[in-house]
Amino acid sequence: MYWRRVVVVVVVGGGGGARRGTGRRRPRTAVQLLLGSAPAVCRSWRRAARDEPSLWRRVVVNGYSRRRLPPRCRLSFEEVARAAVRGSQGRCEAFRGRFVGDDDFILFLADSAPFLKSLRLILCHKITSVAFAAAIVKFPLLEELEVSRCRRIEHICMPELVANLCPQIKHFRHTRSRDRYRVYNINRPGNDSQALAIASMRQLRSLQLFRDDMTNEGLMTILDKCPYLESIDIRSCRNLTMDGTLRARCAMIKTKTLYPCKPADEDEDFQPGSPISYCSTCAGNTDMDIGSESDFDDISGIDYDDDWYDSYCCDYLSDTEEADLAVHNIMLEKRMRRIKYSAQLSNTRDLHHPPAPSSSPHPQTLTLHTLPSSSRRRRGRGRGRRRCRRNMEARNWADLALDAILTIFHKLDHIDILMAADQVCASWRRAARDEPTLWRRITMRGTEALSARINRGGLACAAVCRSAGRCEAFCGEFAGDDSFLMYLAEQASCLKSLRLISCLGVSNEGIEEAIKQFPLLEELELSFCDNVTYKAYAIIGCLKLSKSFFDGWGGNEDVWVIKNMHELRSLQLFANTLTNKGLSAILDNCPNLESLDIRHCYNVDMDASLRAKCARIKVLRPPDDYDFHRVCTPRRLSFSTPIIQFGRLSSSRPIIKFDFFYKINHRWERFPT
Amino acid sequence: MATGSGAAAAAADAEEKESGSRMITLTSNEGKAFVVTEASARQSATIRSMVDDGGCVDKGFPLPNVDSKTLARVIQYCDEHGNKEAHTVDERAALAKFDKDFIAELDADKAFLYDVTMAANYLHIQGLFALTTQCIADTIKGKTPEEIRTAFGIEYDLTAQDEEEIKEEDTHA
Repeated sequence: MYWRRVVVVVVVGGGGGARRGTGRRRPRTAVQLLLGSAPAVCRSWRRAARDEPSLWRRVVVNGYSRRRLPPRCRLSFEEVARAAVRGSQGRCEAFRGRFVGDDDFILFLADSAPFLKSLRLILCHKITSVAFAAAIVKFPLLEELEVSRCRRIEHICMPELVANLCPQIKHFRHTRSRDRYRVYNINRPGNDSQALAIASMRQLRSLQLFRDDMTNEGLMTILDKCPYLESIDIRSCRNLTMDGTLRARCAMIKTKTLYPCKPADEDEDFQPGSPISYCSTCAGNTDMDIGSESDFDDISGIDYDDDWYDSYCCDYLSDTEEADLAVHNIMLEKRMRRIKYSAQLSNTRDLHHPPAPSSSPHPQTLTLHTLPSSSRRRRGRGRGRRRCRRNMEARNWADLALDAILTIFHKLDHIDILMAADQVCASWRRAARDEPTLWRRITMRGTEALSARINRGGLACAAVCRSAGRCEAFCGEFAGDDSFLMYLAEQASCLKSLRLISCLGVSNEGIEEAIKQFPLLEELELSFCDNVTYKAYAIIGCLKLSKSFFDGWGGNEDVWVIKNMHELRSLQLFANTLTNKGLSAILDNCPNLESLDIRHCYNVDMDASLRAKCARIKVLRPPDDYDFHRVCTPRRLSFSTPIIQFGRLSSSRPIIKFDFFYKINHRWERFPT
Repeated sequence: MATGSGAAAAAADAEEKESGSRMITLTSNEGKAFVVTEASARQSATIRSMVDDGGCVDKGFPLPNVDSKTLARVIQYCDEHGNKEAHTVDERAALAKFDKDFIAELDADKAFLYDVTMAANYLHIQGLFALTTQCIADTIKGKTPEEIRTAFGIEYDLTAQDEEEIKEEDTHA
């Protein structure tokens, strides 16, 4: 609940008796102050609430659904916010609105609050960028600006506008709204225009750019041009790669949140090192007197009661927010445990061994809950210099037979080998590096979170490099882009299986170029690769079979590509726009088809004629197969002819020829709810 | 690795039928003798090939690389898998449960796990070897190098050159 505590809200000033005998007056939001019970307590409170402009210097309006308003109230949140701003009599200095405000309101605010220093708009979907641009002209003193998940103010020029019109801007927070239908919306092409605009905000103290498209160059420009930067939050900026130079450059920043550890992370939990209320650089500045802590104490001597505050916050948290916070608390607990554990470890080390003379900067200076992988690795290495504690009857695992080590490594994901196992000891490292057979079938599965922390493309290249040109199968999830495919095409000309899952960096052109260089390809999967469209399938189809060309299918391109693959054994078209006509063409033209999965292809009506044609298919999953509704991961599909398994290639048996063609189209809106 | 033993198993199947009731003596490096059924001993590709060669079945097999404690545990596995036949679903489930409990016990004692893995590798007991290596792989999964070293008590012995390489890879990756 920490961030909510930072939100300093207006306080009932003036006289009035102690409420409920606690002697403690509590911060109220504008809504409560205007409409709640506070003004109704007594006349002096009412007077204080209505007639004290200083009370309205900082306005916080947390809009929610209508039911949050007192039942007798017929006002909308916009009207409440207006009343609050009006109450300040032109002296409003900070406004924080959530789910509140429209174009009219923001223009009204611009007219009535010329001294506004802090403007925070969260989820204000009704405000358009035109009105925002007109309003921002009238806030020349603005020092803090937050535009979080306001769908209509995401115009690319917004930061530039702010940089030009608000020379005093010190705290800038911008969070893109989430794309509802594109859960896997990562790896958008890099775009530094926003970053360059931000770089011209020379006074910047704290910066939060959540889900921004900027690249390393953009961030470097910001870091170069903004000498006062103290806090930075660049979570979910997928185009950034925290390499050595960038890390070194970021070292001067006091508070950082660099990379996401969980997609569930919410943007608001970032606490800048110097939020505007407690800004260290502004503390002594008399101009900047908007509800600082001292200001607070002077008025009422508030005594924060944590329990009360928690329950207060709970009133205002939706279920999802609660869930997010719960996740966050767990992460914090874990982190505390980890710190405790590492402290214990370092204590024991200090007892037994004198500290190393040149200790590297402790990575725990990277605050918050993120632990970028490479710093974890560095820390691991640093501590690894000491001798490990030996058990009473220890075995030297480093002496494990090479056979055994390789068998174990074969059971691991190749990411684990590259990132951990090959750095454990010399013999393991030899096994991982000098054994091309280990890298014949490369599997790099991972989560979205992991992919953001490490450059999967780089790791994938390293893995392919170790195969010494003998790579036969590559399966990558969140791994690789066009340049990696080019590398793979150069290094692995005998590739037989290529599976790309959620590789959004792969484009039509990349796949076309690469696939021409894999003459032996038997299995292809392109799942969740949103940037590969039917244009690429034309090339894929022509590769193996250019003999019969069929046109006249206008619009249903997938079908005429697939129906040319006469050798096809297994086909999965997930949530495709396939029709009956298309399916029967595929069935007619692919005599070897053994398994067919067309779940969620709701344009296919399994009538009698189609069922008759499908009779020879061994494994059939019709569009309305309900198994799937519980497990929404198409990867878990099983076929009668399985995808070539690990170890199969190493045996002396001949490789069974499979032709797979997977394609999964996302049409999430077709999902039954 | 016990690759290719599948084919040998098929070939030896018929022979096993007629000589399945023989008893075989295995001797650990401490000289302790263990008497097992031939079906049980055939789980090991090493012993199987020696038996098929018609070697010293009566004199018993000395196993100089395996101590008594480990051999007892390995034989426990072989008895379960060699003497019982798993045809029905229930039998297979029982066997799977045995494997699960077996490996859970080993997992708690890493030194013993090491011994059993080495013995399984030496005796070419494919099922047991797969079981133990999978257990080790599961331990490694998702850990940092230091965590792996701590888990297995491995000493850090990478040279400066190795560290240099790792650092270089770090900047790439």
